[in-house]
Amino acid sequence: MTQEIEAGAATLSEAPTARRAGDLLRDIAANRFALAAAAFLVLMALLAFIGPLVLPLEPYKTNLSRLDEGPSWDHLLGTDQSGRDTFARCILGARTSLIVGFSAVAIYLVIGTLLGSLAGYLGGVVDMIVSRTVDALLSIPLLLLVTVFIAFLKPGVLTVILVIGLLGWPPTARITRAATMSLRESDFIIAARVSGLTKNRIMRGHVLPNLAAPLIVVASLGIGTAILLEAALGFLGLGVRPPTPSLGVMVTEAKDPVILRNSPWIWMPPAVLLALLVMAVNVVGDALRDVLSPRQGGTAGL
Amino acid sequence: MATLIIRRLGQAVPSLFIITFIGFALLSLAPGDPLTARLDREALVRMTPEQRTEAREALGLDEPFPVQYWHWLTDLVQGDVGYSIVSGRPALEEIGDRVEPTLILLVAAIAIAVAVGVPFGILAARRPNGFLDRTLTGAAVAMISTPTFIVGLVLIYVFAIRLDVLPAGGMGVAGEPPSTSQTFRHAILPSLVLGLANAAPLARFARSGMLEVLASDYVRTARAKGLSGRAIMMRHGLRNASLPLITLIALLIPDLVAGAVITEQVFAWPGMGRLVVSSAQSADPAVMMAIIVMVAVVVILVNLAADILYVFVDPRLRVS
Repeated sequence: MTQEIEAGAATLSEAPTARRAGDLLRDIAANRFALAAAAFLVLMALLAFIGPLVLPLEPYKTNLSRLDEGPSWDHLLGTDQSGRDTFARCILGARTSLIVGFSAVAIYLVIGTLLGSLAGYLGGVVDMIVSRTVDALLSIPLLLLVTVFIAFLKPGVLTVILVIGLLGWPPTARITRAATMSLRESDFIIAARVSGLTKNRIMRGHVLPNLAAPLIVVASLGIGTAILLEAALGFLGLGVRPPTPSLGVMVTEAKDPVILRNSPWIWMPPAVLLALLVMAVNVVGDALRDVLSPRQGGTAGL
Repeated sequence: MATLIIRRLGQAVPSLFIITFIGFALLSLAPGDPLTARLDREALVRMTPEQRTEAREALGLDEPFPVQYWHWLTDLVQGDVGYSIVSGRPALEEIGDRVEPTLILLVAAIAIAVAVGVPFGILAARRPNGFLDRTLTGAAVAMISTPTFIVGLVLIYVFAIRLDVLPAGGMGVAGEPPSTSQTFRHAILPSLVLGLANAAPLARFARSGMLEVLASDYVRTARAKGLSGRAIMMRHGLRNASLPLITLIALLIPDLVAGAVITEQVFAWPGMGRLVVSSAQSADPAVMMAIIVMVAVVVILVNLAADILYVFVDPRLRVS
């Protein structure tokens, strides 16, 4: 979380320069590592969303004659203890990760941007209430907050998305507020105000479009955090419920020492995929941050 | 300086207040009779219906929301946070047993994170974009991206199962009285997981802090007057770059606590993290509420203390 705030803030030091989309793509393409990460994400998304339609994947079919088997031609990554195909379940698990990551972040971007820009632009009591609520929520680790609030709700994909979405907005709000405050004092906003535009129009026409850069950075890194949260909730037994595949839940099988020791094909594939997925999202997010805040560019931040 | 401290206090107090709202909202979400989470179970069983009504009135449970909140808040600040609906014990007692294991884990993890993260960050800053810097950047991204429970399981797989040199979980040997040496042995893997996970962001901070100091005028002056690279790094670089460390560690505490929740679960470490997960699994409102309020208060106070301490350590802030 500190990572997201810091990264989003890095884009703020820049005056809103009109960098063309073409330049942006060129800069991203120059970073081969980030390009590979982006390609991996596109591939995973295709596999996860189109794969089940065209490939013969059977993530739910149990086969009692082939329990807990290592990799073979029939089952590329082996089978789990119910004889289900690990490869198919990994693909579907990645789909759950991606759905939760993107939807939860979409929800909290809307909430965070709205509250943050209102606080930054209006100031006064609104700012006080929003900022102190942000401080309060950020003082409780998001994982802890999500864990306790999810306890009373019906488990499932939708619940996980909503809980992360409704509780994850404070970093976005903090960045948006800071960005809005610096924009408010900038010449073109003052010009717009002097020329008699209403607050409403200035917000929609001038402030919000210029928030795009920091928000893209916060969102891309936030998706990684959301995917990790979904997996962690699955591991704690509070997230997505079986039989819906979730990478976190699949890794949890390894809590059993016998499986941990003897059946690495059950827990290793989802563990590696999960780490790769989050890493790809983070690498792309870091690249976007470097590209969108040229002053920091070149020194790819550790 | 006084105004700075007063301003920070002015920010902390409303935040603490809002935290109590969050805690109360959580309790209000809980299904079932709120009395069970507020009163001693044995007393509750012996109560007649009239006595129950009286108790409800005394707690303000039938009053409008603000009144209920006020009753609850006055109890809370007096240390009455309610009862666990699972064990029937006061929630505070339940948590009390778990504080020490978690503190052991957190302190060990912070020590490891600082011991690993800071030197690597400083080394990386010596040659930005050099081999070491790039390697460390890669390692940091990998560390941040790998879920804590996976790192934990892999360490158990390697050290407890394959090599069989360290225990896989728990805080001591079952059936033996707790001993410091056993606690130490059992703490190695969990604190390593938690410490390494937080070494990455610390290295990142140390690196950028060091780069900033090295680009400053006084380092240029030192270089111009012919000081050796080593003397510049140690006397000027390190001393100035280590100042923000206090704040950084304070900022890392929420991440450390989140990591502890997972780590304690992986290693069956009997701390607050395990308690919060088990009470979430059994939907035990008072215990969960007490833990998040406690964590939030500690985090806010630690940050406040770090900011104030920083003013004392950094003479520049004292003047302005």
